[in-house]
Amino acid sequence: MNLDQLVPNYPDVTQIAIPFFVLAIVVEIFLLRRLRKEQLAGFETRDTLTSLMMGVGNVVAGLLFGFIAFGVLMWAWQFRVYDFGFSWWAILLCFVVDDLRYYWYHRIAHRSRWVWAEHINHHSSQHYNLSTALRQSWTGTFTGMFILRIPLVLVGFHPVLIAFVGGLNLIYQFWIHTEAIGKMWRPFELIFNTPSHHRVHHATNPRYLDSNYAGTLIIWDRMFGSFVEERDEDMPRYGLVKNIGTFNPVKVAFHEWWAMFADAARPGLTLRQRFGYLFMPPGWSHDGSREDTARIKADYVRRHPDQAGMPGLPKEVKE
Amino acid sequence: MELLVLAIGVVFGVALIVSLVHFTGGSKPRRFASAKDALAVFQSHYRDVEVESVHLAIGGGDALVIIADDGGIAHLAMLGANPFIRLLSADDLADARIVTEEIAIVLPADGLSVAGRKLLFDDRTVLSEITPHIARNFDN
Repeated sequence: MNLDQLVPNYPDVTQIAIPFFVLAIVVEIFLLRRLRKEQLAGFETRDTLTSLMMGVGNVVAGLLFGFIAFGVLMWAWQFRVYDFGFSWWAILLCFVVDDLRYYWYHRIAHRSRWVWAEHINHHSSQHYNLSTALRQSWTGTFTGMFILRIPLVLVGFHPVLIAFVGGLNLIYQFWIHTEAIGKMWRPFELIFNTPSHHRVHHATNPRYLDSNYAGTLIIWDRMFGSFVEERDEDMPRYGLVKNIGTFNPVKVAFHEWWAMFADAARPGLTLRQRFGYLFMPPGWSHDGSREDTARIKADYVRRHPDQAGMPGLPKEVKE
Repeated sequence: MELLVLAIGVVFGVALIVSLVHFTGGSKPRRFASAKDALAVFQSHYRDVEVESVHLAIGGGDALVIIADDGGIAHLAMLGANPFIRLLSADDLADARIVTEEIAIVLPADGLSVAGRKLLFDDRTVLSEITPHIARNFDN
């Protein structure tokens, strides 16, 4: 019996989906042109090209470095305590468990600069359209966050199955990067991640910062207290708290790595402070001279006391 | 999927999308018509922020927004068809200086804030308004 009989030869679903991605973006371009709403960020040529080049770079990085994570997971497979196999229910169960894994990966990606350095590029566009979904990382492998998949392997999900459902999860997340779809059917919005929920995630409005980390199921945000609803009176503004004014894909991919290591290498810091620049939340600084999310939210509440305690904002702030 | 098929699909897809965006107006360069226009752009993104004053740079490609209550400064730049907005810190303005009697230049320092962009103003009040936000004096 050879390996093919034991392990299904799952296709790389994200590569197969490329024609669908192209078609969907074409439809969205025409749809947004027809809507012609001034407040929508829409498409801009260089921004779109940068997003697409980041997507291409992500595929190339996967081809070049994907073996590292896969190799580690295959090594861990020998220590599994169970084998769920490849039945339909195993695929479904693996998808849900991997979606929970994605939630925590994503939360860490926003709360630790080490992972934010690779994830920041996905948030670097001031636009929010389907091309933004393809603005993906080139350096994900090097954060080592693939280790979050090891528990799934140890409980009995094969690395091939984990890669397959991970691909399906990414495809799901593609269509939610749009302003062309408003709020959806209430029960759907309760369970699944939707364009409305994910617009909030991409927004830099103080109340929306560090919220809605979900991949497919928004239930994780509701369970772990990071859910914030999109509000009509506070329309999302997209991008970074401190936007980058470049369309150069190499700068987009590496600027935060550069800035992070430059901070950590500054003269006169203690070892603890150097590690702080690498692993503390974005905006952390050893002397408190920069603004992190907590301070941005607190400043907002100080200016708008009536908003204290609203979802995404602190109840009270110290003067 | 065979690598060649993947590569052809990707190149064709990218070309198609970028062409469509371009030919439907996505590259049309814009300028701020006035300080009021720049203010409207800023407030469409930052509705909750009170503005003290807006200074339009020569040419209308950039503007500086002074935020009320010591809230800092925002740099607005037209990059092609769409505005880029960045809240500036004191470090970003470290290279601000007067180059002639009439004109001020502000060079955001980290190379990412529209790298190399020079903001030229013929309105000297911008200097007095941004000075409190930066550590350095305009002695040079």
